[in-house]
Amino acid sequence: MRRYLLSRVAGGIGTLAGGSVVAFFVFHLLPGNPAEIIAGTHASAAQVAAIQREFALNQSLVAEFVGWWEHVLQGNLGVSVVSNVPVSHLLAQTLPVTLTLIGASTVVALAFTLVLSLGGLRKGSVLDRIALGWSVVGLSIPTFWLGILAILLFAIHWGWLPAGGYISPYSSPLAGLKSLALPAITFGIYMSAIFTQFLRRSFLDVMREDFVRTARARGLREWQVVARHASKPAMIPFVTVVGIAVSTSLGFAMVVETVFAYPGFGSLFVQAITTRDYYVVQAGIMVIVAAVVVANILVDVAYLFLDPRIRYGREG
Amino acid sequence: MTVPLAPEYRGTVSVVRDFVTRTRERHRPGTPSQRVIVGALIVLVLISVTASLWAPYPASAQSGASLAPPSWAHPFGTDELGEDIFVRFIYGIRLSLLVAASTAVVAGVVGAAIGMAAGYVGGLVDSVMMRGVDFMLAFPTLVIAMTIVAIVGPSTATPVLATIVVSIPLFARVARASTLVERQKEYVLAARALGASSVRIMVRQILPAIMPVLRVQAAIAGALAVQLEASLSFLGMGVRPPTPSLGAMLNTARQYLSQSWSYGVFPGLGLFLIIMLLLMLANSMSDDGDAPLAKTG
Repeated sequence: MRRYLLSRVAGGIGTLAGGSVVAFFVFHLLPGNPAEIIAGTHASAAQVAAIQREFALNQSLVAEFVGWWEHVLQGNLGVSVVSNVPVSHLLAQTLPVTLTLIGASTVVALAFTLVLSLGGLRKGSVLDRIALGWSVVGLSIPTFWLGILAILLFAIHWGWLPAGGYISPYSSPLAGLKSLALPAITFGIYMSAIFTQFLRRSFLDVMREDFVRTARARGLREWQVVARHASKPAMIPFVTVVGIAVSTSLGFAMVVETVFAYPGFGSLFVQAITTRDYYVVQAGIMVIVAAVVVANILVDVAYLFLDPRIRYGREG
Repeated sequence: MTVPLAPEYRGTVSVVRDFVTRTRERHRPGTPSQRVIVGALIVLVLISVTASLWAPYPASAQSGASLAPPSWAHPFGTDELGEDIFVRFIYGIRLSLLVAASTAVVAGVVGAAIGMAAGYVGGLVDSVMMRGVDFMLAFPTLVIAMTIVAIVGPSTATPVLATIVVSIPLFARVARASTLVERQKEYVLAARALGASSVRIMVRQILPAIMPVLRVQAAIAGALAVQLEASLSFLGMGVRPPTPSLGAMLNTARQYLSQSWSYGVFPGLGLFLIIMLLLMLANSMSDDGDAPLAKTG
């Protein structure tokens, strides 16, 4: 079990290292001198030289890379060219907003999913067909279009909810939840389409297993079979998907946040790419890499609880 | 002149007749639902490709008042520049279909080649290639695509390049997994015993065997590509403004939602239609009517 965890953590560190190389070299692939890109178009030669010295950009690539890592480990991610604010401050401002959104969307998605996936208990049942249709339709609707439809209906036509913006639900709960409702539902519907597809599939497979037949033969009621015997193994592939979805949701957050003018990490990253805000993009890629790595490790830990084969050292 | 058949030949006749009917069936490929889906896609292709012949207005020219509601002259209304949304919608569909087709074909060929080589050769080649594939699959596709846009710069070709790059690992993974299964089989061993080269075995024996899986993946990749191009254009990183793209149209529409509902509704309907047709096609081609679609994000 310890070896299992260690190998997963080592793999995560490998991904993190690879991701940092990508984040670092992205801007070396751009035409032009990185220091000039960082300094912006209006910088003087002296400013460019100062930036070159500060971030060791005039040395060899390897020395530069090491210097960059030293800065990162000290929490110095550079300063945004566009707003002149340290990147670490920008992240501290935007990440909680986005994490709140992702959290709320995941709750919405799981609520939809758990109900619909029960359709997977019996193939071809009405609920099963609804679940299958839901996953195809949900995956086919572009997230930003769903957001636009939601704004048209709930904000403009009926005027029930705000069309965009963010109010912290921690300081003013009611207004905060209202501002969170449309983005979280939009995002949650997309996530639930992915989740439903997998959990349904997973239930269909598990219900065919021998141990389910055995449990039935022992005279257990159907809900007992599902609750005690089928649900845990059905969760194993599902947990993987939730892990992947939560980490890739940082990508989707960009689209959803743009639709609803949400001042989160996604909007920050999109803006940084369009304005070529060097350090913000670099830090953004690192945040996404770190999120992917952490999510994967959490998934592996979840396996320990769900799959006894791994717990007892026989990797299945 | 009819020759009476001896009883022992009657079996042969029915075998021949079965063979003939079965060949006739084979000329109409696919299940009924597949024919409907493919037919709908072909109709979309024909309508959008011939648009310049029949469309009442050019794609980017003022043809009415700005942000007019739907009417007989402008069935989907007009945009903020007074351009006809319906015409731009049709051209947008053409772009989406082009992105889907080129991604499915180019990423399919490259990805299948990588996956088959990794699966057939094995060893170091396999582990190096698959490490790279896994690394790419770990990241949100949109983030990879955006990074490519940041490096290459936005243009009409950039989103296509980005969708191709992010789809290659998906094909490679699927092709490798199926190749590992096929290479064990006797017909491959037989071909090798006959002295066929590795390349010949891959192209002539393994490729036809894994084709059904690749076809499903191609439909999924097409859907993914449409979604990704639309997302990039929606974020202002895709096709540049005068060229009609459904995603870019929705990005502009977002600013005028309180003035025009039709601008925000119809372009998305086009995307929805194309993506759903492709996903349904993928579903109908996979064995259990339920293709794994998760990696569309």
